[in-house]
Amino acid sequence: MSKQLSEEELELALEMLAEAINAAGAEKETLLLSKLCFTLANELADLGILQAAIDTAERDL
Amino acid sequence: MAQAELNRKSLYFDYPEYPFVRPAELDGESQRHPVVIVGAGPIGMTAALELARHGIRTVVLDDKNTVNEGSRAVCIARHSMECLQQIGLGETFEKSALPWTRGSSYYQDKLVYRLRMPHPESERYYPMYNLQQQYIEKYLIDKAGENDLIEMRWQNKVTDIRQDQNGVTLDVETPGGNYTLDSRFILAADGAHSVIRRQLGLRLKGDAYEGRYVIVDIQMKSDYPTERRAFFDPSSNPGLTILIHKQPHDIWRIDYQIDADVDEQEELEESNIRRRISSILKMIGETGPWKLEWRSVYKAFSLALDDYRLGKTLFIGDAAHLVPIFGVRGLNSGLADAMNAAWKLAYVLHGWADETLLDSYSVERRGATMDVFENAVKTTKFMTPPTRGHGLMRETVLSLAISNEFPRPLINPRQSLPYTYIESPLAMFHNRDAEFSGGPGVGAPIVCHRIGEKDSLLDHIGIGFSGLLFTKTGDIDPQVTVLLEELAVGDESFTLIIISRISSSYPNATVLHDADGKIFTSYAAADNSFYLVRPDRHITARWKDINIGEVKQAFKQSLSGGVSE
Repeated sequence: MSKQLSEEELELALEMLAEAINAAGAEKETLLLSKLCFTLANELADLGILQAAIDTAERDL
Repeated sequence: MAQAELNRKSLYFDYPEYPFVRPAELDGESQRHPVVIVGAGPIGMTAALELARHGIRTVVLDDKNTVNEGSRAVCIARHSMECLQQIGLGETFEKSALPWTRGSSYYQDKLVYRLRMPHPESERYYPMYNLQQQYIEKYLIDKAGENDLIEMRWQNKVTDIRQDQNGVTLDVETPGGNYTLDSRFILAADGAHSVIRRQLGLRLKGDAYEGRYVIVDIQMKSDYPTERRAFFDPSSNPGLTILIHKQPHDIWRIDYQIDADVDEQEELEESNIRRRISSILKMIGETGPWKLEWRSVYKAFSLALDDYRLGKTLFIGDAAHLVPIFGVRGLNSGLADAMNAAWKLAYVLHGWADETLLDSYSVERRGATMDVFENAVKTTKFMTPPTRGHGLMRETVLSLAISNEFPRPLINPRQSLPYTYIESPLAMFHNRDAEFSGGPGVGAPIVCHRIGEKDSLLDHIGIGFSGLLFTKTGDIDPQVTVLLEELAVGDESFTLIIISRISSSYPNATVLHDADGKIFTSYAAADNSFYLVRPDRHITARWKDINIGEVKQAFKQSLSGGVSE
């Protein structure tokens, strides 16, 4: 995962995701996040990177 | 009627009792004072001391007869220490306060972020100090007591204000009766519940945040170093947050978030506080005895007036703005307000500057508040997530931060930094500023470069305007002496500081020998560079190669509030 967001972009990403979660509401929140991950996986077009991201997310759960 | 209230008890601090002194107005005397300051808290007292430094007499009114209770605004930033040094209290605060540079943030008891604030050798002060507000207020009031230009009036409660183009009239209640007080200007430093603000029909505008914190001072012996500790979702406060700060006299400040649906008064009951604190102390491994000192409750706000000046009234500190506690900006921005307003008022009252100079106060300090809001809102959203989405994203960041570096900067509490008045009418010659490759720019405060153990550039800055002239060869343009005469106003001389790479001397100037070139470097200076510095140590303009005509123009324009003739 060589390309990363700057600190400012991370802040904006956090805000965008928070707003999207709020808009989806508690009932649809999980579906929204799953769809988001799947869409990003497709955009990423690299299963190796996807697996590394899954490993990162699974750690410290 | 103003009430005496000295029922404050403390484990370590003797609350002073300031006497009521019958004001002359109650015996029929009447005069128009230059400045009346409403509120003897840290901001009002700083303003009084700075005005006195510029030779202006003040009357300070306060409805209490002692200092505020509890540690309250506990963190003093480096730039505030520089303000305090300017009013003669740098060493007093340095001796009493606990300096710190670090912080630790935990998520579910795991360390996820280490805060390290830069503390270069060149800086005179540490980036942050902890000192209880009672001491801050007491030191300022003690200092004011040494100054004949400051008249303290305790148990004098302002009930109404009227103003016109000539000045202000206050209605004041005291234990000895009521009177009216006339003043050319008012500094409203009467805090979050400002009577002046309310009586003038003004409202703070902005946002309130959901999260509430109980704040508690305890006395406890512990060797743990002075640093900021933040605990997110800890075992002793699941789903919520705890902040811990060490203070002098073995006092520890513990702020813990409470659930949105709990009763505030119930949470403040002593038995509940003791239960909560015991649980927190157990979590951090503190097993020794402790005593409860003080408790209160806090909610975050981002609120400000549209304009910090209304006619002859200038609002400073919490009377002008309420900023979230996270990032320690309340006291620190209030002190900068006081220093900014005071020199400008002094120059207007002495007749050295046009009253338009006062308009720049609101432009500069409200600009600083908006900058504070931008940072504090981010911090506050992290400390007290306002929505489920923000809460979930905070948990995401904290969980990822246990094992990954990339989200850790988002946990940074973004501590208070001085503001650069880049959009101020008093920030001039931006084209010249652009010629520098670094150093403090136009509108920024100077770098108070350390020269010796207890000596820094700030020790040589004058009361009035100052100039920093850099020379590599010691050859100074004789025309510079013109500045000494033309940039002096009244009895405030212009202070010329020559920073020379070689040992030299120059008449009527302080020469600082910059043998290793470090001051040159921190100012990105070349031979003959020049910085024009205001009384509150912010930079008016700078020239890579001094242009005496432009320096004179910048000075003149400053005194007319930035308006060119």
